Amino acid sequence: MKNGFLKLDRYKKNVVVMFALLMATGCIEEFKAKTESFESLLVVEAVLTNENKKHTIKLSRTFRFEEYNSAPEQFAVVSIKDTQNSEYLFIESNPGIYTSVTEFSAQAEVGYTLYIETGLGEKYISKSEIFKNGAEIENIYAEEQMDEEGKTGIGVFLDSNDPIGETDYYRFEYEETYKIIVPKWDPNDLIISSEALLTFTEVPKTKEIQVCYSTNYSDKNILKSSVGLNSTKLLKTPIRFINKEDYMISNRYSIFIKQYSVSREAYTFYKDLNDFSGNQSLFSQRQPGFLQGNISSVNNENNVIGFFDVSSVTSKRLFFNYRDFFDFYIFSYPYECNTIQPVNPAIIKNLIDWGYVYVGINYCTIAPTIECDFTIPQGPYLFVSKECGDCTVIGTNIKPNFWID
Amino acid sequence: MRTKIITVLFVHFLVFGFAQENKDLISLSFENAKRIDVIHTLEEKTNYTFYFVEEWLDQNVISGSFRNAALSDVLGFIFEKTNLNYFILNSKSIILTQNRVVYSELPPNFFGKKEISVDEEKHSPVVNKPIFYSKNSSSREIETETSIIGKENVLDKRKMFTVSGYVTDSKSENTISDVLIFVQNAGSGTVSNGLGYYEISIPKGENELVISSMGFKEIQKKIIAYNDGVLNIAMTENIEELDEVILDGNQNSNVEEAEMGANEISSEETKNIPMVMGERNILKVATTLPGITTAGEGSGGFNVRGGKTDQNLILLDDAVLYNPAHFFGIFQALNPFTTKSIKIYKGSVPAQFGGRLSSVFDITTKDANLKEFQGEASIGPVTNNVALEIPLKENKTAVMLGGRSSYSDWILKSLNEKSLENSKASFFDLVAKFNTKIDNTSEIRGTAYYSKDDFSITSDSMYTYSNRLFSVNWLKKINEKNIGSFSIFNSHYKYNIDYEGVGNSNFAFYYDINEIGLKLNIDYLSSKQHKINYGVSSKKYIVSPGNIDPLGESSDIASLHIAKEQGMESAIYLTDNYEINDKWLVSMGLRYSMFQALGSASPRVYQNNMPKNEETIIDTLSFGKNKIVKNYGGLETRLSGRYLLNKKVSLKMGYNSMYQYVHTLTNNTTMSPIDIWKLSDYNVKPQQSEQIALGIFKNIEGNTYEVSIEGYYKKSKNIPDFKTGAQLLLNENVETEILQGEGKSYGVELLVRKNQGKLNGWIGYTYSRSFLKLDSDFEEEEVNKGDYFPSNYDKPHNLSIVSNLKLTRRFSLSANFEYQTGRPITYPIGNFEYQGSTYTVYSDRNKYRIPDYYRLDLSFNVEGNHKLKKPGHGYWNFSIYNVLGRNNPYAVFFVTKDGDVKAYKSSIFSIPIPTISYNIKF
Repeated sequence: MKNGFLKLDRYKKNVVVMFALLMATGCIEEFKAKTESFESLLVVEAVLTNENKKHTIKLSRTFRFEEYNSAPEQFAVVSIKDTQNSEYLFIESNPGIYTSVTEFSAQAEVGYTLYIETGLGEKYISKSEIFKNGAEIENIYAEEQMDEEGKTGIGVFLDSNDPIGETDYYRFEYEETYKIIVPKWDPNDLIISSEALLTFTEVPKTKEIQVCYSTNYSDKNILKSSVGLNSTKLLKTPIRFINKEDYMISNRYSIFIKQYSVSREAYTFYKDLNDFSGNQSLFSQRQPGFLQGNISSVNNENNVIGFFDVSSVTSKRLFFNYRDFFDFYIFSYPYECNTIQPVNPAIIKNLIDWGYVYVGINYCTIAPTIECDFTIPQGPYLFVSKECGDCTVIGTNIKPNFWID
Repeated sequence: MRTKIITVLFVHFLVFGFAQENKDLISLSFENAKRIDVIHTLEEKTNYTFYFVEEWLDQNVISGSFRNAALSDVLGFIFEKTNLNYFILNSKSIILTQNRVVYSELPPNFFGKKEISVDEEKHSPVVNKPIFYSKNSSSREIETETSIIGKENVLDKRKMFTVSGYVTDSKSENTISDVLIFVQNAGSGTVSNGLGYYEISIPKGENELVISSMGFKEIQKKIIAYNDGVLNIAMTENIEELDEVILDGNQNSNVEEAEMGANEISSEETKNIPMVMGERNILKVATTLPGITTAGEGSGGFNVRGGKTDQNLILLDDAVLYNPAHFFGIFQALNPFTTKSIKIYKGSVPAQFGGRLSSVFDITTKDANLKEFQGEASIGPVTNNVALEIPLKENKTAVMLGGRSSYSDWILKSLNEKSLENSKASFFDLVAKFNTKIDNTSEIRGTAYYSKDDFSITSDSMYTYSNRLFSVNWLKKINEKNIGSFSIFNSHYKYNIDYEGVGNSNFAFYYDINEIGLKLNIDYLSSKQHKINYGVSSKKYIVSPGNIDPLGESSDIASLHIAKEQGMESAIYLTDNYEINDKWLVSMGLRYSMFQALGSASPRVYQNNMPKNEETIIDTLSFGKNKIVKNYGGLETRLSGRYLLNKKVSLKMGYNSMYQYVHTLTNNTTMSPIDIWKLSDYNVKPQQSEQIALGIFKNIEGNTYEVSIEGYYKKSKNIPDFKTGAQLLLNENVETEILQGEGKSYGVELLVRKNQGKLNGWIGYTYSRSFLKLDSDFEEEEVNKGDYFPSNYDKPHNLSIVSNLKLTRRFSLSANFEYQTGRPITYPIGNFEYQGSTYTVYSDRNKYRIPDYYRLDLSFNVEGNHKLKKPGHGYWNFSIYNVLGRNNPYAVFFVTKDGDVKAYKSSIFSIPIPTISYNIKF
């Protein structure tokens, strides 16, 4: 199982594109899937790491295409036992979310087993998974890069170092946070001073809506294997690529990467999960089947989905600014933002009521310049739509603790 | 000129009624004299004048001495070894006739007074029933040529004579095999062998022969048989006419041969059939025959009678062609100009073939023209193609060269699409065939072939695959009864994947399989009733199952070369085609095949009856180079029989058993060029199958219509399949991922063919099912709870209509229609959330089907004019593939994108594709 061989699957997606153009006839189209036959199965998400914390385990049920979310599996009894006869109990803190009563961390060379008994009395047990110390993140860095489609952007890469040489399989997760600055802003708000007379007054803003932060989580497993490499280092693993024109990196951006050193079985499970849900070749599809993890039903009655993953984790954070890479600022914002300057006070009132954001006095009505376009009516105040003037629409105005400007 | 034509003679005979024997005695001697000179001497010495055609006399010399001999003795001596008879008309004239005896009296029943009973005929002394014929006796309007065979011997009372000879191509002088020689009045026939030689027994007297072969003009010939004799037949190529027969029209062979489930398609005659992008594809035409399907438009490989794609033995001039397709199976890797025909055996596979369970695709390349330089070229939207036939030594040796290449790379580049800048897709194939006649009894043919495909979709990876093969065949007529054929062949299939991305894991990967073998095959015509075929074959395989090397200096990839696999596959076989009586013909074949997995190897030994995994290893063995790791083998029975209900209807049955020692490993639902061929080894057993079949074959109106219904039931075992998510590439212990299960398939195939007339073609309908079973005591080795489940290519209903309407000599219209049940797919049983994303969950394999498939193609064909003296013969083809624009789903899959599940369906050719192509023959 070669590291690079993950790449074998890469031709699949792109053949589609190529062939579609080559023949101008082949196609892949989306359709609304229907449930043909449904089996309700327990889904277990359990990752135990060497972080000393209250670990959580999520239990849910499979759901139909016609439903949008999974139902939590409530009222289950969940515990982890180790080979040193310790037992860690988990209690349901939120529906379907089970949190350990005590803080603990996985210890080297200790085996852990997960026990679940559902409210209906179905019993599930995992194989005993032994915790092993894993590789370290040596470095994370960003570079200007071109993606497969030839678009420029920023690639985030990671170098791992495994001095003990025990880690062969890696899984990565990331959390990215970026700064949002609204394109138009004024320190004041406009309020209606008289409903009857339709007069307006400027007052200082009370809420931070100019600068916000937004966070995304990786939604797929990034996997890498170092089997077959001569080196103890795994270099330049691509973690993330962001297009140059993406708003996320237009100001300041931060990425937090977690590296899990996983077992071969866990790696296979995640890889199958990726393969079965990844892009398929136009010509040849991967044969899907049931995804067998390391958890099974005690009485062998029901199938269960999930892998009790006991792995070592390390993490690192990286910040960068758009200006670190590109000289020319490409103005980008998730929404198209035009200012409007109504003349009619009734409309101004309406805009305020509808939540439009005041972004200043219209200088074209006070001190016109040649840039003022008088072919359209020019009212006294400038407004933008809420998503263009209030960053809390797409982020939070609370600066994260880790944020360094 | 003292010549008279035979019909005049006939009149003379009637006038004179009977002849008088002249009792004059003659003394004469001659030494090494030509017969003509002897005749002149006789004329001088006697008063007789001879009437004959000078050409009748050969240049051979005779010696003799007579003293007071009777004239008849002298004449008898002179004409003894010729086909001439003499008739002493009166004291002045002697008439020589070719073949016939001039009778001095009319046969007893000449005026139809009474019929001779069999008894009477037996007792009738001396005089045989003479054979009369008139040139106008043919009821047909077609002018037929008449040949006279043998010299009539009054004393010869045999009713059947043996006629033999060679069939040749009048233009190239090459012998033609597989030509049907059919005696219409007797309802019997034969087929010329590999040297173009045939032997047939025909009733005494006038016979009507039809000689037909694909790609040649049918010949209707009258022969009058007086004795055993030689009839050499020259056939002319059928290029000037629009082709009407697409499938082999071997008259009555449909009904008469013992084999079932066999078809032949000629490349030349597939040219009217509309195909994707105008690329002639004989292999796709094959899939319109009952029992042969593909998983879908974009998938390579064939599924024959419910078998997997790796179960077909595809031979190109005796050597195995591992991947006969370009571009994922959309185009054939065979040059349509150099390919002569394909013979497909899906039912009774002759014992001389073996090693694959489902079928044999026996592809032959044309022999080059021995007389004159010839060529063919075409320009189409995907490829251009040139084939040349070059005589090296007239009437002896010639070579054919063919080359074909795509310019799709150019198409990609010209699209000016940035995302495709780094994409590449191109292919080519080259073929060379050499044929030489050493003497009248032996020929040598050699073929070399190479095909290569390159494709790269992303800038960082490049895929290449190639076929390379060589074969040399020496065909030798040992004597009248034995024909031997000795071949040496070598095939090689290989693919590479080069990955060059960022980071330290750039690599070059390659896989290859190489086989080299020989085969000795002898046809022995033991007697009229027994035709025997026997031989031995053996080949050696060397497989490099996977090799990875670092690419570039910055790569930290460690080189890994999975140990080479080696094996020896051999067989000895014998078939007797035994014609028990007029009704029964049986073909009894036995083949003993064996396989030795050879070292060096260090196979693992696993606990019996336990899943093969790391925990169940009990030992690791070690074998040195070329040491036998494991022996497999067994007797394969190839039995088929025909029972003629009457001349036009026959009943056939067959039983076949087979072994297969090489397998493809793939965890995709369809075949791909980067599948791994794996040999049977210590842990991987050979596949086995048994098939029984029964069929009724009927011809209507001669062979204008051919109707057949065949049913079969097939069981197989040790069919390789894989654990879910198996890792097959670069896996040193791939047996831990392999499951070997059972297969079962059955079906009924109906084929109606119209071979002649303005409208011709065929309709094939098949109802068939194909199932697999992967059962085990252990859940990890089970699929669908150990029950039978439909295979990926189980398509119960399959209808194909292929038709060609000849409007005039130059214009014709063709249409294809195809309908198939949608193929089975594995459909999710629900969704689940995992680590913030939604995924689908799958359970039982192949429980659902994609929607049914149907497609209509049309084409319009224009032949160049038929002027005799012009530099080349052109041919235009305008076609539209998928006229209805049906968006046939090929696959359905579910992708997790931005955390959500999206359902997609894909199709390959979803809109009508018009194409124009031009071919020229010069």
